[in-house]
Amino acid sequence: MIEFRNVVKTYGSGKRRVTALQGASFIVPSGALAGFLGPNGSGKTTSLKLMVGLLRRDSGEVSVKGLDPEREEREVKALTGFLPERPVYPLSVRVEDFLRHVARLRRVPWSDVRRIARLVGIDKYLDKPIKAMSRGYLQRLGLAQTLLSQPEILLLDEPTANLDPIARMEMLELIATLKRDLGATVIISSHILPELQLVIDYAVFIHRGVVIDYGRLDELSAKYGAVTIYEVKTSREPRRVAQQLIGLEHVKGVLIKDDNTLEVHVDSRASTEVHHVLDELVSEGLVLSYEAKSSYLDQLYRRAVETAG
Amino acid sequence: MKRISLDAILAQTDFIVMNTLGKALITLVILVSVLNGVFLPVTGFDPDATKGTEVFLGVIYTLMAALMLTGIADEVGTGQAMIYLVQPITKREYMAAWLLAGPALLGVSYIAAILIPALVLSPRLVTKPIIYEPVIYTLGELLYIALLTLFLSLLLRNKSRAVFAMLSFMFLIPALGLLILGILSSTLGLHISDEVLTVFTSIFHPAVVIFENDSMVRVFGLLYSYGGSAALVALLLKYSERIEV
Repeated sequence: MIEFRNVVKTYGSGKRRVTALQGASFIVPSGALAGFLGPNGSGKTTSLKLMVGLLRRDSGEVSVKGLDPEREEREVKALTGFLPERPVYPLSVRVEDFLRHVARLRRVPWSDVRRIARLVGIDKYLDKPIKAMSRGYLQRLGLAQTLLSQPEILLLDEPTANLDPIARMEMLELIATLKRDLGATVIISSHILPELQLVIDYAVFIHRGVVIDYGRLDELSAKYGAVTIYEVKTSREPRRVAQQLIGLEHVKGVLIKDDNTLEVHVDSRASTEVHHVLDELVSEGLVLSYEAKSSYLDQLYRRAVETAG
Repeated sequence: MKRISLDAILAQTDFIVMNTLGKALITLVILVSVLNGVFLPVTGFDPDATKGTEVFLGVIYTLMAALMLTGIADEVGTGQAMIYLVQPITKREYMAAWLLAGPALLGVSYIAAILIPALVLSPRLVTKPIIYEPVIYTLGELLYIALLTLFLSLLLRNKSRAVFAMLSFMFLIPALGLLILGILSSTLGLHISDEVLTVFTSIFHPAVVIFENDSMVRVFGLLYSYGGSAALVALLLKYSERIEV
Protein backbone atom coordinates (compact mmCIF):
# COMPACT_ATOMS: atom_id res chain seq x y z
CA MET A 1 0.00 0.00 0.00
CA ILE A 2 1.11 3.53 -0.77
CA GLU A 3 -0.08 6.28 1.50
CA PHE A 4 0.31 10.08 1.53
CA ARG A 5 -0.73 12.00 4.64
CA ASN A 6 -0.96 15.81 4.41
CA VAL A 7 2.03 16.01 2.11
CA VAL A 8 3.21 19.51 1.21
CA LYS A 9 5.85 20.10 -1.45
CA THR A 10 7.05 23.47 -2.67
CA TYR A 11 9.70 24.43 -5.20
CA GLY A 12 11.88 27.54 -5.11
CA SER A 13 11.96 30.15 -2.40
CA GLY A 14 10.74 33.66 -1.66
CA LYS A 15 8.61 35.21 -4.40
CA ARG A 16 9.46 32.33 -6.72
CA ARG A 17 8.02 29.72 -4.37
CA VAL A 18 5.54 27.43 -6.09
CA THR A 19 3.38 25.01 -4.15
CA ALA A 20 3.16 21.73 -6.05
CA LEU A 21 1.26 19.73 -3.40
CA GLN A 22 -0.97 21.28 -0.76
CA GLY A 23 -1.55 18.73 1.97
CA ALA A 24 -2.13 15.76 -0.33
CA SER A 25 -3.62 12.66 1.30
CA PHE A 26 -4.56 9.43 -0.45
CA ILE A 27 -4.13 5.67 -0.40
CA VAL A 28 -3.39 3.27 -3.24
CA PRO A 29 -4.01 -0.33 -2.12
CA SER A 30 -1.67 -3.16 -3.06
CA GLY A 31 -2.45 -4.81 -6.37
CA ALA A 32 -4.33 -1.83 -7.81
CA LEU A 33 -3.81 -0.52 -11.32
CA ALA A 34 -4.28 3.10 -10.37
CA GLY A 35 -4.56 6.19 -12.52
CA PHE A 36 -3.06 9.34 -11.09
CA LEU A 37 -5.21 11.81 -12.95
CA GLY A 38 -5.13 15.54 -13.44
CA PRO A 39 -4.09 18.22 -15.91
CA ASN A 40 -0.48 19.22 -16.52
CA GLY A 41 1.02 20.96 -13.50
CA SER A 42 -1.45 19.47 -11.04
CA GLY A 43 1.20 17.67 -8.98
CA LYS A 44 1.18 14.18 -10.48
CA THR A 45 4.88 13.96 -11.28
CA THR A 46 5.79 15.54 -7.94
CA SER A 47 3.74 12.88 -6.13
CA LEU A 48 5.41 10.03 -8.04
CA LYS A 49 8.88 11.45 -7.42
CA LEU A 50 8.11 11.77 -3.69
CA MET A 51 7.21 8.06 -3.68
CA VAL A 52 10.80 7.09 -4.57
CA GLY A 53 12.61 9.86 -2.69
CA LEU A 54 13.74 11.76 -5.79
CA LEU A 55 12.22 14.84 -4.12
CA ARG A 56 12.12 15.83 -0.47
CA ARG A 57 8.74 16.76 0.99
CA ASP A 58 8.34 19.95 3.04
CA SER A 59 5.99 18.26 5.52
CA GLY A 60 3.61 15.34 5.86
CA GLU A 61 4.23 11.61 5.60
CA VAL A 62 4.80 9.28 2.67
CA SER A 63 4.72 5.55 3.15
CA VAL A 64 5.49 2.92 0.52
CA LYS A 65 4.74 -0.55 1.88
CA GLY A 66 5.44 0.89 5.34
CA LEU A 67 8.78 2.42 4.30
CA ASP A 68 9.70 6.11 4.21
CA PRO A 69 11.22 6.91 0.78
CA GLU A 70 13.52 9.56 2.26
CA ARG A 71 14.84 7.56 5.20
CA GLU A 72 14.76 4.13 3.53
CA GLU A 73 15.70 5.31 0.07
CA ARG A 74 17.43 2.22 -1.30
CA GLU A 75 14.85 -0.21 0.13
CA VAL A 76 11.97 1.72 -1.47
CA LYS A 77 13.81 1.98 -4.78
CA ALA A 78 14.46 -1.78 -4.73
CA LEU A 79 10.70 -2.35 -4.41
CA THR A 80 9.74 0.05 -7.16
CA GLY A 81 10.30 0.55 -10.85
CA PHE A 82 9.96 4.14 -12.00
CA LEU A 83 9.49 5.32 -15.57
CA PRO A 84 10.07 9.09 -15.77
CA GLU A 85 7.96 11.14 -18.17
CA ARG A 86 10.92 12.31 -20.23
CA PRO A 87 13.81 10.04 -19.38
CA VAL A 88 17.21 11.44 -20.38
CA TYR A 89 19.57 8.63 -21.37
CA PRO A 90 23.30 8.63 -21.98
CA LEU A 91 22.77 8.48 -25.74
CA SER A 92 26.19 7.22 -26.80
CA VAL A 93 26.00 4.24 -24.43
CA ARG A 94 24.91 0.91 -25.92
CA VAL A 95 21.47 -0.31 -24.85
CA GLU A 96 23.03 -3.50 -23.52
CA ASP A 97 25.61 -1.63 -21.42
CA PHE A 98 22.94 0.62 -19.95
CA LEU A 99 20.71 -2.31 -19.04
CA ARG A 100 23.72 -4.23 -17.67
CA HIS A 101 24.38 -1.28 -15.36
CA VAL A 102 20.76 -1.18 -14.17
CA ALA A 103 20.85 -4.97 -13.71
CA ARG A 104 24.01 -4.66 -11.60
CA LEU A 105 22.41 -2.01 -9.38
CA ARG A 106 19.29 -4.17 -9.07
CA ARG A 107 21.33 -7.36 -8.60
CA VAL A 108 19.62 -9.07 -11.49
CA PRO A 109 21.36 -11.71 -13.67
CA TRP A 110 22.08 -10.97 -17.34
CA SER A 111 19.61 -13.65 -18.46
CA ASP A 112 16.81 -11.54 -16.95
CA VAL A 113 17.94 -8.55 -19.01
CA ARG A 114 17.57 -10.56 -22.22
CA ARG A 115 14.15 -11.83 -21.11
CA ILE A 116 12.85 -8.34 -20.27
CA ALA A 117 14.35 -6.92 -23.49
CA ARG A 118 12.42 -9.58 -25.44
CA LEU A 119 9.27 -8.94 -23.41
CA VAL A 120 9.19 -5.21 -24.24
CA GLY A 121 10.47 -5.78 -27.77
CA ILE A 122 13.86 -4.09 -27.70
CA ASP A 123 16.10 -7.16 -28.00
CA LYS A 124 17.13 -6.22 -31.54
CA TYR A 125 18.54 -2.93 -30.22
CA LEU A 126 20.74 -4.42 -27.50
CA ASP A 127 24.02 -3.96 -29.37
CA LYS A 128 23.14 -0.48 -30.66
CA PRO A 129 23.70 2.89 -29.01
CA ILE A 130 20.66 4.34 -27.26
CA LYS A 131 20.58 7.22 -29.74
CA ALA A 132 19.60 4.72 -32.48
CA MET A 133 16.20 4.18 -30.83
CA SER A 134 13.01 5.97 -31.88
CA ARG A 135 10.85 7.71 -29.30
CA GLY A 136 8.57 4.71 -28.98
CA TYR A 137 11.50 2.37 -28.44
CA LEU A 138 13.05 4.76 -25.91
CA GLN A 139 9.81 4.49 -23.96
CA ARG A 140 10.15 0.71 -24.17
CA LEU A 141 13.73 0.97 -22.91
CA GLY A 142 12.36 2.98 -19.99
CA LEU A 143 9.86 0.25 -19.33
CA ALA A 144 12.61 -2.39 -19.53
CA GLN A 145 14.74 -0.66 -16.89
CA THR A 146 11.60 -0.28 -14.80
CA LEU A 147 10.77 -3.97 -14.97
CA LEU A 148 14.23 -5.50 -14.59
CA SER A 149 13.92 -6.75 -11.04
CA GLN A 150 10.19 -7.48 -11.32
CA PRO A 151 9.36 -4.72 -8.82
CA GLU A 152 6.32 -4.93 -6.58
CA ILE A 153 5.36 -1.37 -7.48
CA LEU A 154 5.48 0.24 -10.92
CA LEU A 155 5.33 4.03 -11.16
CA LEU A 156 4.78 5.17 -14.74
CA ASP A 157 4.80 8.90 -15.35
CA GLU A 158 2.86 9.72 -18.53
CA PRO A 159 4.01 6.47 -20.19
CA THR A 160 2.13 7.22 -23.42
CA ALA A 161 3.27 10.82 -23.78
CA ASN A 162 4.97 11.60 -27.10
CA LEU A 163 3.85 8.30 -28.65
CA ASP A 164 1.76 7.93 -31.80
CA PRO A 165 -1.77 6.50 -31.35
CA ILE A 166 -0.78 2.93 -32.22
CA ALA A 167 2.25 2.98 -29.93
CA ARG A 168 0.04 4.44 -27.16
CA MET A 169 -2.41 1.56 -27.35
CA GLU A 170 0.44 -0.96 -27.51
CA MET A 171 2.01 0.61 -24.43
CA LEU A 172 -1.27 0.49 -22.48
CA GLU A 173 -1.88 -3.12 -23.49
CA LEU A 174 1.67 -3.96 -22.45
CA ILE A 175 1.15 -2.31 -19.06
CA ALA A 176 -2.11 -4.20 -18.49
CA THR A 177 -0.41 -7.48 -19.45
CA LEU A 178 2.54 -6.80 -17.17
CA LYS A 179 0.28 -5.93 -14.28
CA ARG A 180 -1.63 -9.19 -14.81
CA ASP A 181 1.54 -11.29 -15.15
CA LEU A 182 3.59 -9.67 -12.39
CA GLY A 183 0.74 -8.95 -10.00
CA ALA A 184 2.35 -5.61 -9.20
CA THR A 185 0.76 -2.43 -7.91
CA VAL A 186 0.83 -0.03 -10.85
CA ILE A 187 0.37 3.74 -10.75
CA ILE A 188 0.08 5.52 -14.08
CA SER A 189 0.00 9.27 -14.14
CA SER A 190 -1.70 10.82 -17.13
CA HIS A 191 -3.58 13.86 -18.29
CA ILE A 192 -5.11 11.89 -21.18
CA LEU A 193 -8.04 10.31 -19.37
CA PRO A 194 -9.98 8.50 -22.15
CA GLU A 195 -7.19 6.04 -22.88
CA LEU A 196 -6.62 5.26 -19.21
CA GLN A 197 -10.19 4.15 -18.55
CA LEU A 198 -9.43 1.07 -20.63
CA VAL A 199 -6.91 -0.25 -18.14
CA ILE A 200 -7.21 1.24 -14.63
CA ASP A 201 -9.39 0.03 -11.78
CA TYR A 202 -8.52 2.72 -9.22
CA ALA A 203 -8.11 6.49 -9.50
CA VAL A 204 -6.58 9.39 -7.62
CA PHE A 205 -7.92 12.74 -8.82
CA ILE A 206 -5.54 15.63 -8.34
CA HIS A 207 -6.18 19.28 -9.18
CA ARG A 208 -3.81 22.20 -8.55
CA GLY A 209 -1.81 20.30 -5.96
CA VAL A 210 -4.89 19.10 -4.07
CA VAL A 211 -6.08 15.48 -4.06
CA ILE A 212 -9.81 15.85 -4.63
CA ASP A 213 -10.83 12.23 -4.31
CA TYR A 214 -9.54 8.70 -4.69
CA GLY A 215 -10.94 5.19 -4.72
CA ARG A 216 -12.01 2.25 -6.85
CA LEU A 217 -13.49 3.33 -10.16
CA ASP A 218 -16.87 1.70 -9.52
CA GLU A 219 -17.12 3.49 -6.17
CA LEU A 220 -16.22 6.82 -7.75
CA SER A 221 -18.72 6.20 -10.55
CA ALA A 222 -21.45 5.53 -8.01
CA LYS A 223 -20.48 8.61 -6.05
CA TYR A 224 -20.43 11.01 -8.98
CA GLY A 225 -23.01 9.30 -11.23
CA ALA A 226 -21.08 9.49 -14.46
CA VAL A 227 -22.70 8.73 -17.79
CA THR A 228 -20.99 7.27 -20.87
CA ILE A 229 -22.37 8.28 -24.26
CA TYR A 230 -22.30 5.66 -27.03
CA GLU A 231 -22.84 6.26 -30.71
CA VAL A 232 -24.66 3.22 -32.10
CA LYS A 233 -24.92 2.57 -35.84
CA THR A 234 -28.02 0.51 -36.70
CA SER A 235 -28.64 -1.44 -39.91
CA ARG A 236 -32.40 -0.78 -39.93
CA GLU A 237 -35.23 -0.01 -37.60
CA PRO A 238 -33.44 2.38 -35.26
CA ARG A 239 -36.66 2.76 -33.25
CA ARG A 240 -36.73 -0.99 -32.52
CA VAL A 241 -33.14 -0.89 -31.26
CA ALA A 242 -33.90 2.26 -29.26
CA GLN A 243 -36.89 0.56 -27.61
CA GLN A 244 -34.79 -2.44 -26.65
CA LEU A 245 -32.08 -0.24 -25.17
CA ILE A 246 -34.32 2.17 -23.29
CA GLY A 247 -35.81 -0.77 -21.46
CA LEU A 248 -32.47 -1.58 -19.86
CA GLU A 249 -32.05 -0.55 -16.25
CA HIS A 250 -28.81 1.44 -16.68
CA VAL A 251 -29.66 3.23 -19.91
CA LYS A 252 -30.53 6.82 -19.00
CA GLY A 253 -31.69 7.95 -22.43
CA VAL A 254 -31.64 7.18 -26.16
CA LEU A 255 -31.63 9.83 -28.88
CA ILE A 256 -32.43 8.95 -32.50
CA LYS A 257 -30.04 11.15 -34.44
CA ASP A 258 -30.82 9.99 -37.98
CA ASP A 259 -32.03 6.94 -39.89
CA ASN A 260 -29.26 4.69 -38.66
CA THR A 261 -27.58 6.47 -35.72
CA LEU A 262 -28.50 6.44 -32.05
CA GLU A 263 -26.94 8.26 -29.12
CA VAL A 264 -27.23 6.14 -25.98
CA HIS A 265 -26.58 7.54 -22.48
CA VAL A 266 -25.48 4.81 -20.06
CA ASP A 267 -24.69 4.80 -16.36
CA SER A 268 -20.90 4.31 -16.49
CA ARG A 269 -20.98 1.72 -13.72
CA ALA A 270 -22.92 -0.61 -15.98
CA SER A 271 -21.02 -0.12 -19.19
CA THR A 272 -19.92 -3.78 -19.21
CA GLU A 273 -23.52 -5.04 -19.08
CA VAL A 274 -24.54 -2.63 -21.84
CA HIS A 275 -21.60 -3.85 -23.93
CA HIS A 276 -23.00 -7.40 -23.68
CA VAL A 277 -26.42 -6.27 -24.88
CA LEU A 278 -24.91 -4.24 -27.73
CA ASP A 279 -22.74 -7.21 -28.71
CA GLU A 280 -25.86 -9.38 -28.87
CA LEU A 281 -27.57 -6.79 -31.07
CA VAL A 282 -24.51 -6.81 -33.32
CA SER A 283 -24.70 -10.59 -33.63
CA GLU A 284 -28.43 -10.34 -34.42
CA GLY A 285 -27.55 -7.86 -37.18
CA LEU A 286 -29.61 -5.03 -35.68
CA VAL A 287 -26.54 -3.01 -34.75
CA LEU A 288 -23.64 -2.50 -37.15
CA SER A 289 -21.20 -0.96 -34.71
CA TYR A 290 -20.97 1.08 -31.53
CA GLU A 291 -18.34 3.20 -29.76
CA ALA A 292 -18.09 5.25 -26.60
CA LYS A 293 -18.05 8.93 -27.59
CA SER A 294 -17.38 10.41 -24.19
CA SER A 295 -14.82 9.43 -21.62
CA TYR A 296 -16.45 8.68 -18.37
CA LEU A 297 -13.16 9.26 -16.55
CA ASP A 298 -13.25 12.79 -17.93
CA GLN A 299 -16.75 13.21 -16.53
CA LEU A 300 -15.84 11.67 -13.19
CA TYR A 301 -12.87 13.98 -12.91
CA ARG A 302 -14.90 17.06 -13.83
CA ARG A 303 -17.65 16.19 -11.38
CA ALA A 304 -15.14 15.52 -8.62
CA VAL A 305 -13.55 18.93 -9.23
CA GLU A 306 -16.98 20.62 -9.29
CA THR A 307 -18.06 18.86 -6.10
CA ALA A 308 -14.82 19.85 -4.38
CA GLY A 309 -15.54 23.43 -5.39
CA MET B 1 21.93 6.70 9.56
CA LYS B 2 21.50 5.06 6.16
CA ARG B 3 23.63 2.01 5.41
CA ILE B 4 26.06 2.48 2.55
CA SER B 5 26.21 -0.12 -0.22
CA LEU B 6 29.74 -0.46 -1.57
CA ASP B 7 28.41 -2.58 -4.45
CA ALA B 8 26.13 0.23 -5.58
CA ILE B 9 28.94 2.81 -5.32
CA LEU B 10 31.35 0.64 -7.33
CA ALA B 11 28.72 -0.16 -9.98
CA GLN B 12 28.00 3.53 -10.50
CA THR B 13 31.73 4.40 -10.41
CA ASP B 14 32.36 1.82 -13.13
CA PHE B 15 29.62 3.28 -15.25
CA ILE B 16 30.87 6.86 -14.87
CA VAL B 17 34.44 5.86 -15.70
CA MET B 18 33.50 3.68 -18.67
CA ASN B 19 30.90 5.95 -20.18
CA THR B 20 31.38 9.52 -18.99
CA LEU B 21 34.98 10.22 -18.03
CA GLY B 22 36.91 7.27 -19.50
CA LYS B 23 38.06 8.53 -22.91
CA ALA B 24 38.82 12.07 -21.70
CA LEU B 25 40.74 10.69 -18.74
CA ILE B 26 42.91 8.40 -20.86
CA THR B 27 43.61 11.24 -23.31
CA LEU B 28 44.58 13.52 -20.45
CA VAL B 29 46.91 11.00 -18.83
CA ILE B 30 48.63 10.33 -22.18
CA LEU B 31 48.94 14.08 -22.90
CA VAL B 32 50.46 14.89 -19.50
CA SER B 33 52.75 11.83 -19.63
CA VAL B 34 54.06 12.83 -23.06
CA LEU B 35 54.56 16.46 -22.02
CA ASN B 36 56.38 15.31 -18.91
CA GLY B 37 58.49 12.96 -21.04
CA VAL B 38 59.44 15.93 -23.24
CA PHE B 39 60.16 18.32 -20.35
CA LEU B 40 62.21 15.91 -18.20
CA PRO B 41 65.28 15.78 -20.51
CA VAL B 42 65.09 19.58 -20.89
CA THR B 43 65.44 19.96 -17.11
CA GLY B 44 68.45 17.66 -17.22
CA PHE B 45 66.67 15.27 -14.85
CA ASP B 46 67.53 17.66 -12.01
CA PRO B 47 64.91 17.03 -9.29
CA ASP B 48 65.02 20.67 -8.27
CA ALA B 49 64.47 21.87 -11.81
CA THR B 50 61.51 19.55 -12.42
CA LYS B 51 59.54 21.48 -9.81
CA GLY B 52 58.48 24.17 -12.31
CA THR B 53 57.42 21.70 -15.00
CA GLU B 54 55.45 19.59 -12.53
CA VAL B 55 53.54 22.62 -11.27
CA PHE B 56 52.87 23.67 -14.88
CA LEU B 57 51.65 20.18 -15.79
CA GLY B 58 49.63 20.14 -12.58
CA VAL B 59 47.79 23.30 -13.64
CA ILE B 60 47.04 21.84 -17.10
CA TYR B 61 45.87 18.57 -15.57
CA THR B 62 43.75 20.36 -12.97
CA LEU B 63 42.14 22.59 -15.58
CA MET B 64 41.24 19.64 -17.82
CA ALA B 65 40.04 17.62 -14.82
CA ALA B 66 37.79 20.49 -13.74
CA LEU B 67 36.28 20.70 -17.22
CA MET B 68 35.61 16.95 -17.19
CA LEU B 69 33.98 17.02 -13.78
CA THR B 70 31.44 19.63 -14.81
CA GLY B 71 29.81 16.59 -16.48
CA ILE B 72 27.93 16.02 -13.22
CA ALA B 73 26.20 19.38 -13.79
CA ASP B 74 24.91 17.96 -17.07
CA GLU B 75 23.73 14.75 -15.41
CA VAL B 76 21.88 16.50 -12.62
CA GLY B 77 20.72 19.51 -14.65
CA THR B 78 19.32 17.61 -17.64
CA GLY B 79 17.70 14.94 -15.50
CA GLN B 80 19.96 12.09 -16.66
CA ALA B 81 20.82 11.50 -13.00
CA MET B 82 17.18 10.50 -12.48
CA ILE B 83 17.67 7.41 -14.64
CA TYR B 84 20.30 6.23 -12.13
CA LEU B 85 18.64 7.56 -8.98
CA VAL B 86 15.43 5.62 -9.57
CA GLN B 87 17.52 2.45 -9.20
CA PRO B 88 18.46 1.07 -5.76
CA ILE B 89 21.25 3.58 -5.16
CA THR B 90 20.98 6.42 -2.65
CA LYS B 91 21.86 9.99 -3.48
CA ARG B 92 24.84 9.76 -1.14
CA GLU B 93 26.10 6.61 -2.89
CA TYR B 94 25.66 8.33 -6.26
CA MET B 95 27.77 11.23 -4.98
CA ALA B 96 30.36 8.85 -3.55
CA ALA B 97 30.61 7.23 -7.00
CA TRP B 98 31.36 10.62 -8.56
CA LEU B 99 33.99 11.25 -5.86
CA LEU B 100 35.67 7.95 -6.66
CA ALA B 101 35.41 8.26 -10.44
CA GLY B 102 36.36 11.94 -10.33
CA PRO B 103 38.83 13.34 -7.79
CA ALA B 104 40.10 9.99 -6.49
CA LEU B 105 40.77 8.39 -9.89
CA LEU B 106 42.04 11.68 -11.33
CA GLY B 107 44.47 11.97 -8.40
CA VAL B 108 45.86 8.46 -8.90
CA SER B 109 46.13 8.88 -12.67
CA TYR B 110 47.87 12.24 -12.19
CA ILE B 111 50.53 10.64 -9.99
CA ALA B 112 50.94 7.94 -12.66
CA ALA B 113 51.21 10.54 -15.44
CA ILE B 114 54.02 12.31 -13.57
CA LEU B 115 55.94 9.31 -12.27
CA ILE B 116 55.74 6.84 -15.18
CA PRO B 117 57.74 9.01 -17.65
CA ALA B 118 60.30 9.68 -14.92
CA LEU B 119 60.53 5.95 -14.20
CA VAL B 120 61.00 5.18 -17.91
CA LEU B 121 63.46 7.97 -18.74
CA SER B 122 65.42 8.24 -15.50
CA PRO B 123 64.60 5.51 -12.94
CA ARG B 124 67.13 7.06 -10.51
CA LEU B 125 64.99 10.19 -10.32
CA VAL B 126 62.07 8.26 -8.83
CA THR B 127 64.20 7.15 -5.90
CA LYS B 128 64.83 10.75 -4.83
CA PRO B 129 62.26 12.04 -2.32
CA ILE B 130 62.59 15.58 -3.66
CA ILE B 131 60.70 14.65 -6.83
CA TYR B 132 57.63 13.81 -4.73
CA GLU B 133 57.46 17.24 -3.15
CA PRO B 134 55.86 19.01 -6.13
CA VAL B 135 53.59 15.99 -6.65
CA ILE B 136 52.23 16.43 -3.12
CA TYR B 137 51.56 20.14 -3.66
CA THR B 138 50.04 19.81 -7.13
CA LEU B 139 47.97 16.81 -6.07
CA GLY B 140 46.53 18.93 -3.24
CA GLU B 141 45.58 21.62 -5.76
CA LEU B 142 44.10 19.04 -8.15
CA LEU B 143 41.92 17.50 -5.43
CA TYR B 144 40.82 20.88 -4.10
CA ILE B 145 39.85 22.26 -7.52
CA ALA B 146 38.23 18.99 -8.62
CA LEU B 147 36.07 18.85 -5.49
CA LEU B 148 35.18 22.53 -5.75
CA THR B 149 34.15 21.89 -9.37
CA LEU B 150 31.85 19.07 -8.30
CA PHE B 151 30.27 21.24 -5.63
CA LEU B 152 29.74 24.23 -7.94
CA SER B 153 28.39 21.94 -10.66
CA LEU B 154 25.82 20.51 -8.26
CA LEU B 155 24.79 23.99 -7.16
CA LEU B 156 24.59 25.45 -10.67
CA ARG B 157 23.19 22.32 -12.42
CA ASN B 158 24.37 23.69 -15.77
CA LYS B 159 27.61 22.68 -17.49
CA SER B 160 28.27 26.03 -19.20
CA ARG B 161 27.72 27.99 -15.99
CA ALA B 162 29.85 25.53 -14.03
CA VAL B 163 32.69 25.81 -16.58
CA PHE B 164 32.48 29.62 -16.45
CA ALA B 165 32.49 29.59 -12.63
CA MET B 166 35.56 27.32 -12.51
CA LEU B 167 37.49 29.27 -15.13
CA SER B 168 36.67 32.45 -13.22
CA PHE B 169 37.87 30.89 -9.97
CA MET B 170 41.08 29.59 -11.49
CA PHE B 171 42.05 32.55 -13.69
CA LEU B 172 39.75 35.57 -13.74
CA ILE B 173 39.34 36.23 -10.00
CA PRO B 174 43.05 35.77 -9.10
CA ALA B 175 44.07 37.98 -12.05
CA LEU B 176 41.62 40.69 -11.01
CA GLY B 177 42.71 40.34 -7.39
CA LEU B 178 46.38 40.72 -8.28
CA LEU B 179 45.53 43.72 -10.47
CA ILE B 180 43.65 45.39 -7.61
CA LEU B 181 46.51 44.65 -5.21
CA GLY B 182 48.95 46.15 -7.74
CA ILE B 183 46.84 49.30 -8.15
CA LEU B 184 46.47 49.63 -4.37
CA SER B 185 50.19 49.26 -3.79
CA SER B 186 51.09 51.84 -6.43
CA THR B 187 48.37 54.42 -5.63
CA LEU B 188 48.46 54.11 -1.83
CA GLY B 189 52.14 53.41 -1.67
CA LEU B 190 51.48 50.15 0.22
CA HIS B 191 54.21 47.57 0.29
CA ILE B 192 52.76 44.14 -0.38
CA SER B 193 55.24 41.40 0.42
CA ASP B 194 55.85 38.37 -1.79
CA GLU B 195 54.47 36.17 0.96
CA VAL B 196 51.15 38.04 0.92
CA LEU B 197 50.99 37.76 -2.86
CA THR B 198 51.74 34.04 -2.68
CA VAL B 199 49.13 33.44 0.01
CA PHE B 200 46.57 35.36 -2.04
CA THR B 201 47.37 33.36 -5.19
CA SER B 202 47.40 30.10 -3.25
CA ILE B 203 43.70 30.58 -2.44
CA PHE B 204 43.11 29.79 -6.10
CA HIS B 205 46.23 27.74 -6.85
CA PRO B 206 47.45 26.22 -3.57
CA ALA B 207 50.44 24.59 -5.31
CA VAL B 208 52.19 27.97 -5.83
CA VAL B 209 53.34 27.90 -2.19
CA ILE B 210 56.01 25.41 -3.32
CA PHE B 211 57.98 28.38 -4.73
CA GLU B 212 57.91 30.16 -1.36
CA ASN B 213 60.82 29.75 1.04
CA ASP B 214 58.76 30.61 4.11
CA SER B 215 57.81 27.26 5.63
CA MET B 216 54.70 28.78 7.27
CA VAL B 217 53.34 29.75 3.85
CA ARG B 218 54.06 26.25 2.56
CA VAL B 219 52.28 24.66 5.51
CA PHE B 220 49.37 27.04 4.94
CA GLY B 221 49.19 25.94 1.29
CA LEU B 222 49.14 22.25 2.19
CA LEU B 223 46.62 22.66 5.00
CA TYR B 224 44.43 24.81 2.78
CA SER B 225 44.41 22.36 -0.16
CA TYR B 226 44.18 19.06 1.74
CA GLY B 227 42.05 20.45 4.60
CA GLY B 228 39.80 22.20 2.10
CA SER B 229 39.51 18.99 0.09
CA ALA B 230 38.49 17.01 3.17
CA ALA B 231 35.92 19.68 4.06
CA LEU B 232 34.57 19.63 0.50
CA VAL B 233 34.21 15.83 0.55
CA ALA B 234 32.18 16.09 3.76
CA LEU B 235 30.12 18.96 2.31
CA LEU B 236 29.45 17.09 -0.94
CA LEU B 237 28.33 13.94 0.87
CA LYS B 238 26.06 15.98 3.13
CA TYR B 239 24.74 18.14 0.30
CA SER B 240 24.05 15.12 -1.90
CA GLU B 241 21.04 14.32 0.33
CA ARG B 242 19.49 17.55 -0.90
CA ILE B 243 19.81 16.73 -4.61
CA GLU B 244 16.39 16.82 -6.27
CA VAL B 245 15.90 15.55 -9.81
